[in-house]
Amino acid sequence: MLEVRNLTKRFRGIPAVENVSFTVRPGEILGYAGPNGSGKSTTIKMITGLIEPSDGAILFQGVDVRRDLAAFKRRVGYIPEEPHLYPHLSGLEYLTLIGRLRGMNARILERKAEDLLALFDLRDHRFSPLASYSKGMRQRVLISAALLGDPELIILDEPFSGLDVSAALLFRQLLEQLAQRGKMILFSSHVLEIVEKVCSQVVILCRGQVVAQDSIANLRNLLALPSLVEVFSQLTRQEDFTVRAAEIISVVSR
Amino acid sequence: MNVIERYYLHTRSPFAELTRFFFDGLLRPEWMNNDGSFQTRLIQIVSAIFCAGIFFPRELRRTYAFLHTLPAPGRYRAQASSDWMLAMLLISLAVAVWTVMQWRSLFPSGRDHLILTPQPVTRGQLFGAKLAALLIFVTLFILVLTLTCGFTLPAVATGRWELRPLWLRAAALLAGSIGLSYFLCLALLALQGVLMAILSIRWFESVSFLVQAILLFALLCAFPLVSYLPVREAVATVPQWLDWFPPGWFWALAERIAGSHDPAIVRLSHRAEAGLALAALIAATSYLISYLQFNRYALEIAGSRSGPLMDWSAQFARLFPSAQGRGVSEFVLRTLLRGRQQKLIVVLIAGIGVALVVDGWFSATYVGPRYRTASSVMREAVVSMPLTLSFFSLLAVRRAFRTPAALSANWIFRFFETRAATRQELNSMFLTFVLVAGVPPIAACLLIEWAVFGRDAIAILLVESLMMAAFAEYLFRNWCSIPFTFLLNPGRRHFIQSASIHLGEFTIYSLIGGFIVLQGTVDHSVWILQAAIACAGALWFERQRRAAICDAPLQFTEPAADAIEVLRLLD
Repeated sequence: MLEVRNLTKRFRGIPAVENVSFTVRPGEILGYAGPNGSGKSTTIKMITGLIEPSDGAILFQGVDVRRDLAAFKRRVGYIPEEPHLYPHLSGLEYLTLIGRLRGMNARILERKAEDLLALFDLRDHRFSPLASYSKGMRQRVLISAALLGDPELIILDEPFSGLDVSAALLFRQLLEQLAQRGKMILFSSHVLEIVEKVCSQVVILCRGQVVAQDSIANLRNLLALPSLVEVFSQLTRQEDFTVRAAEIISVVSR
Repeated sequence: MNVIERYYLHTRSPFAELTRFFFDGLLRPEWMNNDGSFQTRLIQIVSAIFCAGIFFPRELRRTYAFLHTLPAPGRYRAQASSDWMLAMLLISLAVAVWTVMQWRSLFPSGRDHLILTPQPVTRGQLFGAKLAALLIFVTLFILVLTLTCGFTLPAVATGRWELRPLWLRAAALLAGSIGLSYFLCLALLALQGVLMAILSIRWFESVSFLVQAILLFALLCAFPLVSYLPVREAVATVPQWLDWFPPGWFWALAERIAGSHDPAIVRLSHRAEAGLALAALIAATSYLISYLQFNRYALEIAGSRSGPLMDWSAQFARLFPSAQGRGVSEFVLRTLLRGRQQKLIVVLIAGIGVALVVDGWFSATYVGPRYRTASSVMREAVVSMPLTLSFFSLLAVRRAFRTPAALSANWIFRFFETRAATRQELNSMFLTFVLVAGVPPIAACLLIEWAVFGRDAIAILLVESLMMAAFAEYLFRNWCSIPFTFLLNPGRRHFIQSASIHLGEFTIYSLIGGFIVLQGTVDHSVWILQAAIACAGALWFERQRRAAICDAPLQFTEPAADAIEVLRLLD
């Protein structure tokens, strides 16, 4: 179980994330939604060790992850929002590097990397440099790398970005099956329709603070709204976009 | 797969894995092609230096044989000692140039942080591996450069006036060369580390590049200047300025190891020890600060918050009548101004040109007058200057624009590709190249040409402009791509082959061309003939260039995945 307790991050005293708490249980896909700048990526960067929290704790299986961060990260698969990759490496070389850093057996790693690339339709490109990959191909490489070590916790930051329809459908199926196998999945996304379809629970973040945390069905019932999009709009008090859309049209038609 | 390769590729620990990964990265830096050619070129260059280390001392054998026949050992000792200092200077300059070229790889980068930190490695492993890879690489590089020279130079100097054993002299020279190389490498590492520690990420990128470019320029210019240093006087008298000249410290260290007890040499050698320790200390401290501040990469972004005071690219693009031409010209200039790899390549190649010009000036000032009249040597140097500078700047721009950068921008040009638009785009791109790289070097020389040749300078620059135009047309005659938006084709030529071709081009364009221009000052009809030939050449190559534009669509080379795969399978 991943437990985030009162997690806070301040930049020069200004809180970007404040007292955020949530739990991801085995077999659960927890949606993590919020508008741009609400602190989603900051939370995820704190969990993955990219930045250090100002306050609060992250517990994995009841143990503070900071006690042995490397051991925690060995049990985590992470798909970042931006496809940060070494462009001079090929897809196969990248997976091999990640597998080796995870201390995987060479033979198993080789077979797993080849098979994953084949299953994600990257077999023909496995020797090409990542610089030549499309955004969707890079995203598939990142997904393969995140799953390579059979992690217990999977952290996804906008994982559907760049994926085509068939890859997105495959990935959605994959997430469901991974959850059925008892994996913990933290799913951060702007695309609320996907969050609604994929996740069982949702945490909604606004200006660095949790404004709602429940199952999607409960939130809909509680606010008497038909969809997560409307629940989200209500909770995060979005501006009236019809006015802004009209302004854009007036600029375009000048 | 041989035993060494198997051992190298075997997985042991995350630290070893990261070290190997960073070591590989040093062999294929991003400012070069990513097709492994840098590795090949590095091996070629190092092999050439290695061979030079064997053959240059052979040339010295005759000199030393003569010196050993003299009745007194004074001249022999001065020659041997100054050769030591020169050898150490050249080796350490090569190491310094390499270190500056690897400027961005000296510390773990923001990308390393974003990719590797979420993996099960500690920050200590990450930094340790980077430092280990760097030190292993530098050590191998220094050893390859110093070993041959370190043994062959003392060996050829052996004779009746040399009383010290060969092994002692070899060890002393090696210690001095390795110490100086490490000192320069660590000093550069420390400089980069201090910049990282004191600047925000927003400022660091631009300031760090500026420092890198200045250093690269200075080091390239330092290569030819080494031969003008008063080394023989310096080793004989040990003047005060050696106190502020690090190569002098390490030369003194070598002399002390070889048995010298001269108080001035001992004092200088202590400076070498202290300097090396200080450089190592500052480098280690800056590494530690970088280690502690590593999280900044996830928080801060590079770039400017405010727009430029003057948009030079947009102003420049106004020279082009068509919208497509303006678009391409602006795109080319902006990418050149902001593309780090492209700027680095331009600085590297144009820096060689500037180094040759500096060499020419020093030669005219210090060496030439001994053999010819000062004015004739000066006139030669002045005439060849615009040609040399324009040759290297055009070559630099061409090379820089062959480096792929923003492949994702392909679609913009593909989307709007029509035959008419393509022609305008490629023509305006060629004109941009000429106006950016060809015209400024020639214009910059106007005043100095006027000072030396008076009114003739106008005619000289006119002829040289025509020659530059012809050379530019020749250089870009097969160019059918928008810069940056294509993948690099695998090198068609061997590095040495390319270098030989460019040497031939340089000889014809700058040396022979400059000589003929100089003849024109005596007989003006030579200029008319030369201008006519340059015009004819320019028109001929222009026809070739325009025909290539008409015949072919824009080159958007797709990844050569299939070819690479076939090659790997065959392997």
